[in-house]
Amino acid sequence: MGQGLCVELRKVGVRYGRRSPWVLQHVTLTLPAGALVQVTGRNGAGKSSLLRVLAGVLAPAAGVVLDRPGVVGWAPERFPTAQAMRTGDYLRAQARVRGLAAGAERAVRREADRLGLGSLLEVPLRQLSMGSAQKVGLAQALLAPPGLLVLDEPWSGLDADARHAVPELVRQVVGAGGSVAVTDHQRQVAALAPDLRWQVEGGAVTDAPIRPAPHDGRRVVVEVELDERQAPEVLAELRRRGLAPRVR
Amino acid sequence: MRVLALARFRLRGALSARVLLAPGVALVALQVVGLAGGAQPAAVLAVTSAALALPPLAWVARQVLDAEPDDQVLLSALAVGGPVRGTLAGLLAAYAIAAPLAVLCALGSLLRVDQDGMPAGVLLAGGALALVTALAAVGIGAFAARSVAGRGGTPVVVLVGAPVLVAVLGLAGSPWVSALVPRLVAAVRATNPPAGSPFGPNEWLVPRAPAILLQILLWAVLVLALRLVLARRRS
Repeated sequence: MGQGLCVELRKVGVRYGRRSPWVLQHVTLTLPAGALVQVTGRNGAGKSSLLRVLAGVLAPAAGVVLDRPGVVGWAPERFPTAQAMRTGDYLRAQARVRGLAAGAERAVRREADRLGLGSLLEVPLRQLSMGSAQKVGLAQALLAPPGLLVLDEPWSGLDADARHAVPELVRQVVGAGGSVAVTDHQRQVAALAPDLRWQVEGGAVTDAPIRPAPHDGRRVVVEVELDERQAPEVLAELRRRGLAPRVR
Repeated sequence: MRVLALARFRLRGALSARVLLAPGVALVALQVVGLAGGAQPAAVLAVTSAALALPPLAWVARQVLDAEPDDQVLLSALAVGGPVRGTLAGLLAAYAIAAPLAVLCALGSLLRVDQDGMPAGVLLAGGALALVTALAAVGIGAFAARSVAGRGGTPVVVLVGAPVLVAVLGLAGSPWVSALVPRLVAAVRATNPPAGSPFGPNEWLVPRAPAILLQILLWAVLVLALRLVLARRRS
C-alpha cells in the first residue's frame, strides 16, 4: 500500500429518494493509495451503491467523499449495451472524452488486446453477449490509467482468457499506485490478496480484517530500493506471491 | 475539448438511435399546417415558424438528452470530469440539433413570402429568433428529460405545459408576467402593426425584435444555468 490517502468516505449515507429507506448510513472509510479492497456482502446489501459513491457516480444523501483521484474508472455490474454504436467507435469516443485525443486509437487497441476484444470492435454494442459487454465495460474503465478503479462483479460472464486478464489489470493499477475496489461473487478476488475487506451489512460497512497468510518461522522486513519505473512490476510480483509490500 | 467530445458522442448516439423521428415529424407537420395558406409578409412567416417550432424542438431536445441509457450517462459524466460537464455536453448536443432545425424551418417558411420580399433586417431578425427559440426549447427539453422529470407522465406535462404557459402568460397584460416565459407572443404581436399605421409587418417587427430576442435569450440562459446548478447539486 502507498502512504498517501486516496479516498475518504466521511459519515456517508445513501438512499434513493427523500422518503426512501437508507441503503447505507454513517459510513466512514479510508481507501489508501495503492490498496486493493474487496467489498463483500449479500445481494441487495448495498455493495453497488457503495461502489457508486466511491466512484463518484452517485452523490451521497449524507456525508462527504474526500480526495477522490482525478481519473476514476468504473465498470458497472452490467455494461449498458442499449446504444446504437459499434464497440470500437464507442471506445474511441470514450477515449476522446477522457482527453486522449491523439492517443485514443492506441488506448483502444491496448485494452482490446488485453481483454481479447479485437474481433468485437466492429460489432454493434447491442449485439454483444453478456461476457463481451463486460469486457467493453472493463476496457472503457481502463482507457486512461485510473487513480481509482471501481469494479462491480468484473468476472461475471467473462470467458476463461478474460478471467485471467482481470487480475493482471488490477495488479497493474495497484502497482502504479492506484486503488482498486472490487465486488465479487465469483470468489476470484481472494487470489489477488486484497489489502482490505469492507463488509456491507444492514446499512453499515465494517472494515473487516484480512487474515494474514499462514507462515512458519520468524518474520523479517526486507527493504528494497529500486528505480521508480521498475516499481509497478516488482510490486505486482510481490503481491502475486501473497505479500503486502509498502511503498515509501 | 472533452465536453465537446462528449457532445459529439451524445449527438451521434441520438442520431443513430433514430429517436428524433417522431418529434421531427411533429415539427414538419406543425410547420406545414400552421403556415398553410397564401403568400404572407416575411416577418409573419418567420415569427409564426419560430412560435410553432418551440414545442417540437423541446421534444427533440428531450429525446437527445434521453437517448443514452442511465448508466451510460453516469459513465460519460465520470469520463468527462463530473455531472455538470456531462449535462453541459448533453445541452450542447441538443442545441446542435435544435438550432439547425429551427433555422431550416424559418428558411422553409420564407418560401411563401409575399411581393414585399425579404428585407435584410427581417431575415436577420427571423434567423436570430429561430436560434434563440431553439435555445429556449433546449431549456424546456432539459427539464422534461428523464434525469429531472423521471419516467412517468411528468415529461409529457412539461413538454405540453411549457408551450401552453408561453402562450397564456405571453398574453398577460403585465410585462412582468409575460417576461416569465419566452416572449414569442410578443414577437407575433410585433408583426401586427395597428390599423392605420403606415408600416407593414416587416417594418413594424425590425425595431421591436432586439428587445424580444434579448428577453428570449436571457430566459433560455437562465433556465439552462438552472439545469446546470441542479446537476451540480446532485454531484
